[in-house]
Amino acid sequence: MDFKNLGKQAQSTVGAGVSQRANALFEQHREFIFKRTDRMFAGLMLFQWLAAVVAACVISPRAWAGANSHIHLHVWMAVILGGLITMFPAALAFVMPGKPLTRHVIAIAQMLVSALLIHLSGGRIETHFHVFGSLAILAMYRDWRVLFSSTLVVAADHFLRGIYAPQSVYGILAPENWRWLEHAGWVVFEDVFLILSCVQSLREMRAIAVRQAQLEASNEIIEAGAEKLSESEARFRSLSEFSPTGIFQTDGADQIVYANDRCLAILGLKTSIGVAGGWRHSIHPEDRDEVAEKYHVARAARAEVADEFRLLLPNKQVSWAVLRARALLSDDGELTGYVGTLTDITERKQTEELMLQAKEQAETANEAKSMFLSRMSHELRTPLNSILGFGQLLEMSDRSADDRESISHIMKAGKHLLELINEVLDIARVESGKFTVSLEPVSVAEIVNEAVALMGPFAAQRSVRLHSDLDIVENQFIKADRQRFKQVCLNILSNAIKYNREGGSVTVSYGGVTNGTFSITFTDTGIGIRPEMMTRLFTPFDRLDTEASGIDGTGLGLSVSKSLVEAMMGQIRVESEPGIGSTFSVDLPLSDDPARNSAQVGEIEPGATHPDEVQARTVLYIEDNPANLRLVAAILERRPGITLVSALQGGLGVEMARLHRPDLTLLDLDLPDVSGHDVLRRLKNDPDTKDIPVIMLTADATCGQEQKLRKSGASGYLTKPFEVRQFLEVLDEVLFAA
Amino acid sequence: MPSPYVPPRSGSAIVRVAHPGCAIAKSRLNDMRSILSLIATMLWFGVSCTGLWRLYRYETTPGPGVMLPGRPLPASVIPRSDGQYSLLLFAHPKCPCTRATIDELDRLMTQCRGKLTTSAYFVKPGGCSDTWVHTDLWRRAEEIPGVRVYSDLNGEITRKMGAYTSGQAVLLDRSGNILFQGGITSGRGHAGDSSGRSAIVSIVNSGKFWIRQSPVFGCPIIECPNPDYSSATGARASRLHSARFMNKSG
Repeated sequence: MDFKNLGKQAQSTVGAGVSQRANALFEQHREFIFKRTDRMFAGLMLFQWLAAVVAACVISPRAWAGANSHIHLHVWMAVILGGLITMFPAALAFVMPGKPLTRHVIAIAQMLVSALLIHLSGGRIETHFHVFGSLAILAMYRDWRVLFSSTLVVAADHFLRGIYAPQSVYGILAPENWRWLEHAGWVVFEDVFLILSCVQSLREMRAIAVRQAQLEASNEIIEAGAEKLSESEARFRSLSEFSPTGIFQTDGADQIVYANDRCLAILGLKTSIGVAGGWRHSIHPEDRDEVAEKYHVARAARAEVADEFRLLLPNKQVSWAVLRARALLSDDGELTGYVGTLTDITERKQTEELMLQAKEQAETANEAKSMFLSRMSHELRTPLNSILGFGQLLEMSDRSADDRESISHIMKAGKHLLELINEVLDIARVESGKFTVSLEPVSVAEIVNEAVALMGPFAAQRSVRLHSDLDIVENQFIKADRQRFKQVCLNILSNAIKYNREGGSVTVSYGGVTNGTFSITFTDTGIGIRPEMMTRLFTPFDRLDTEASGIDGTGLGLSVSKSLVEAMMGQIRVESEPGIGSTFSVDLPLSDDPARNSAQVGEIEPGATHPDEVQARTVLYIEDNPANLRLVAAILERRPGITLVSALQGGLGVEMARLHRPDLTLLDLDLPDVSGHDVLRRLKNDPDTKDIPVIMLTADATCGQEQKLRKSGASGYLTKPFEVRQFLEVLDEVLFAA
Repeated sequence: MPSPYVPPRSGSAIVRVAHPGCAIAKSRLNDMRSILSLIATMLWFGVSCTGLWRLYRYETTPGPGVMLPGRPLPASVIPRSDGQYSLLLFAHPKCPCTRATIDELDRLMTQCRGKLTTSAYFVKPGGCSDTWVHTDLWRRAEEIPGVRVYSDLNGEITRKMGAYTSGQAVLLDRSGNILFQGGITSGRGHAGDSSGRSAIVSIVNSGKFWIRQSPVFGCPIIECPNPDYSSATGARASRLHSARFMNKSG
């Protein structure tokens, strides 16, 4: 293994932090080795000292002179000099371990010990191996510098002894001058390889340090990741434990491998152990097959599962649950299980059930309300039809001034009552959401001018000047319901006149076009509206404290108008200053195709046919109310040549239609035997009577009635009470149009 | 052997921040400790070298050598020889330094096989038993081929030959002429190449006289009558003596 390249590669690839850590580890390791080797040498030197003493005592214990002897100098030298050489480095090894000085002293001391041992052994060649062995042991420092110190001692020893005692080291008295180099050279020879070994060892140590630093860095990352993972797992477990939703996971064999407590509670299980696919047994038997089928289909497609089903709990209670699960796929696309949620929706289902019941009840109540309104409309309009109808006939007859005034009061009260009924019905329609409008391009000037013309007599009566400036936008069209727009204009103009001062004015003017919206302004010089009352302006039946002013009104006009305008995608704006007047602005969307719409508008001149030119006609009137029969008979008396036949019941009316083949049938909706709808259907289904035009005369003015009847074949539709003039126009149109 | 070193975990070390004043004082203390350590090391090294030098001096100081005349020795002192040359060796049976001489004699006899006969005389003081003289040196010398070992009671022969230092050797020819005299080791108790052994080998094998004398390193065999050869002054005189031998040989 090339540790050199490995170390360089590691140095170049690791970050600065890792490199710094590697250097620290390397230095720590080196210091550890230095200290350990210091201690080892301390022990070795003590051992060598002891060995030297023993050797001296064995080899040369005593020196002799004849029969006399004394302790040999070698013994003293082994003890004293050996101790001196040994103790100092040994002490340094414990006092200053790991220091460079300690290492070098030990290296020098080791060479001095070698010299001592060589002398004590009598210069035996075998003892010289101690030098080479010591160098090899010094290499354990992995610091080539100590080899330099020791080698220097050896070289100096041989050099100096070669000069001063050549025979003791070379065995001859006059050795060559380079002889010491020969001896030192062998030491250097060994040093070369020991130094290479040291350098190689250092490289390996550095590579190990780099690896260690990398491992530590990786370990820190892993530990940090593990810590985050642990936190995440703890967070998940906490969330799972307290989750109101059941959480589960299954394996590829459909075994539950995890389920939180909530999930088990929903399923009615005590533990997920051994449940396997048996969780399906918690499903209500009636839903089990369907759920299983969906689940198998989803598994086959590795698709998500989303289903609602009932559960049958062990306590026989039935609950509802919604299951949402996602497939877990391995890297090679194999299904390894599902993970998902299970939510108890029993309360939601119960709420939905209650809401459904409430809705049905509300619809029933609404039906009842509609029925009530229809009945009320019918019951009120029927007598009003007689009141207003005969009133009109009386107005047409010659009467005294007092009678005319009385008739006028009757008519006025009747119309007010009719207006009140209409507006109440409108409000009811708006609130019930059954209010519909038929939007079409409508000429602004035309409708406004009609309204102004209609309100002209009323304005003149109140001495209010009514004026329209909308002639300048004669060809301007808006998208609106013609009748409803006209109703709005009449309501606003009526208020502007009613609440105006005598001699005041009402001006209808063009307010401009903004963002595709046409604005019409109605400006009056009336009493104005106080700011604090502006919020109550469109509240139904709220007349803004004008009840005591003597001005007639229901408090429904503006409320109905606001609803009508908003139904036509527009809005009403109000600006007012008390004592000066008010300005109502009606904004409605512009129409972009007026030409086509105007082309569709056909003008019918009701009553254009002169009554004198008509031939004899027969009119059948199917009506159960005698007053209404008498009213129509009185009106038709004004049309000579028209013979009126009547029927008080629907069935009789159908028979009389077959018998008399009238030119026109007037049909009431509310008949005692069969409804007007059935009578109309019979007439239209009978070949003998299907071509006879039928005009509906009904007190039921509820929304959609006219459309329904016209779809069933009715030729005309008049609501009671009707205007005599309007009745005659419709009559003339049907009887004499051809 | 796997290293028992276990690196400390990063970040586990407690970092202690010392007061600046403490740091300076600690630095000075370390400097002083380093200086003292260096001084102590130098003293230790000097004393150790001095001790070794004393050991060198002891080992390289020769004893008093033989001062025989140039005329041939009388036949009565010449041992019977099977070879061309005879070597007389005088030794103390208990001198530890002579062990190296016996080793060198072994090498010498090997190098001069068949040409040299050696007579080794071990001094036996009066009153001592044979056991006293039959030491390991005696036995070792007996084992060397061509060597005859004799016990020299009271050192009579030794005294006649003027040999005072254990390891003294004298090389004679058939006629009793002294060809070489001196030690055959390079130091006291120091085995290995020596000028004395080399000279004998040269004379015996090739007849070339390189040197005729060499210093003798060993314990005194008997009490030395010349006070110059005793103690330290004797060592100095011996060195001068050795130098004189060398000059003569040159």
